[in-house]
Amino acid sequence: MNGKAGGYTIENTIPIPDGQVVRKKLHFFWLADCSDSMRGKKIATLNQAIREAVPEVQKAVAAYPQVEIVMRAIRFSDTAEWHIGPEPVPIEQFVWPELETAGLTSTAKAIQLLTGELSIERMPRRGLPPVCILISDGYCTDPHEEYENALTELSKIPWGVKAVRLAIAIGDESDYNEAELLRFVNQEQVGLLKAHSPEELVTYIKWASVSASVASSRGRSRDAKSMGDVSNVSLESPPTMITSNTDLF
Amino acid sequence: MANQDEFLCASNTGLGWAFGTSRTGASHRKNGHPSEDAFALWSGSAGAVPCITVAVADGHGDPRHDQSRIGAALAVQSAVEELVSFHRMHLHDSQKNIIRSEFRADFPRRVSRRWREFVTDDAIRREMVVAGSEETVSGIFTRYGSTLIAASVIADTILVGQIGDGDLILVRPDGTIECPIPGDTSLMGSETRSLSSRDAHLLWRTATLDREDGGVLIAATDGVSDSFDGSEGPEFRKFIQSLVTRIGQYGVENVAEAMSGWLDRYSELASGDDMTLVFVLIRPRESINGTQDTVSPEKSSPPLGGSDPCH
Repeated sequence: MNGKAGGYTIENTIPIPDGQVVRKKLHFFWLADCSDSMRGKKIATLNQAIREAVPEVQKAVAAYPQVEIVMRAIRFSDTAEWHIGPEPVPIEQFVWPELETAGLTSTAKAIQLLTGELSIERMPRRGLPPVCILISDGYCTDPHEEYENALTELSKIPWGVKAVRLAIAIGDESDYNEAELLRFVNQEQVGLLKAHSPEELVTYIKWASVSASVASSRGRSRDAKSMGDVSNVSLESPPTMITSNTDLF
Repeated sequence: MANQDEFLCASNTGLGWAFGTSRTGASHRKNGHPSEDAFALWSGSAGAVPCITVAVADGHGDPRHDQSRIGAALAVQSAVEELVSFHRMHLHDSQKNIIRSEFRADFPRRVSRRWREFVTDDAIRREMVVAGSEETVSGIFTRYGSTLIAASVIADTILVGQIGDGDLILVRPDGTIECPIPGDTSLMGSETRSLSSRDAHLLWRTATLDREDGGVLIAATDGVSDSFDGSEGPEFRKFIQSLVTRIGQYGVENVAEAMSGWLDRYSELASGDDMTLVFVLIRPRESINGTQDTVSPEKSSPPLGGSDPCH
């Protein structure tokens, strides 16, 4: 086993075996409320915060060169539709188009659209846990049973359970249904992120997207038996915010 | 047992050659962490019956499995010792079905038990637990969590077993790929089955194959298939078939020599994970008149595109 032949290493003379190598894909979903109640400062802050968060996610995940983040976005008002998608877009090419406001708050339909994309047929079993961030300022206007069914369906599929699911509530607590949004979240120690002000919304959008992406990117193997039926990753607690009374939504 | 980043080989003139390479993953190298993979090769004979045994283990990377590097090393040691012991016990069993049923019934229980004994001894020796403290000892296994793939070529039978992720593939001389242990479809993301589970002996999947015309048996940790499109992906299949073709074209030793560079490249460009790959070039079974088939595995090149029953 000399490894040398005529001054050249044998290794160099053997072509590397065939087969295309690929980086691990991390699927990232934004679910953004663009109902009429989001108009003005809320939607403007959301648009800006997501634009600012994307390069920060990219920078944070650069420490994991084996990971390729692909993003999609679902917008929901009277109904739910793709804002960016259904084809996932590599984060390097991800551009957030201005989100306009109108109509009601079809949160259930947004979750149904997400569930369809997280199915085993569309998402490889051995990939990294997807990241799903729901941002809303109000009560779901779909029938209650529809919302319950949407969450039940999401929690039935493996990636619905194992994904990192976070939610950010915007505005005053009396304007949204905390229990409803909290049911989307599967990170107990994080809970519902409550943004009372534009500053908090920007902070939470950046923190949630960066923390979830980094945690998912680690992808460290674990004994399935010791994990139970919970998300593959767990996040640290979110930053503590001191709300300023001068600039509330 | 091999140290990390070493290239080892074992051989038996009647059965074939085994090679193994283990490389620290790009992510671990970057952070200065050691590899959590391990492999072991053994060849020898008892009662004039030859045997080649290989084992590959992948320690879990999660922080709760903080001793998994040692757990993986103890896993391959357990596997080799149990398979060699199994070989000695069944030397005189002429009936294949007895060997197969004994392997299926006994090996998972014996290897899981031996691993737990090794772990307990290690934990006591390193003062991580107090000897005799049943409760404390039972909690230590999680910290050593590891997967394990083990295979043995004995006479005209190939015995294989696996707990957790990773790949075990036999490529026959005609290019046919056999996956004796199908993937576990109940696992998601980075979940895996583990030797550290209380019911580990029930989580093993085993199979036996006929040696027949031999072939190339490949065992690898999941870092390798994750660098392509996963165990069942067409790109990983291309890699496997192409690797076997390279062995035929360039010879086992040269391919084994090149392997570490290839694995480093895959880890760098793709999975980032530790990578361990062992392959056994199994010679054809002896014919009835005592001669062997004339095909030299080192010179033969299995055709690409053979049937693939793994899909």
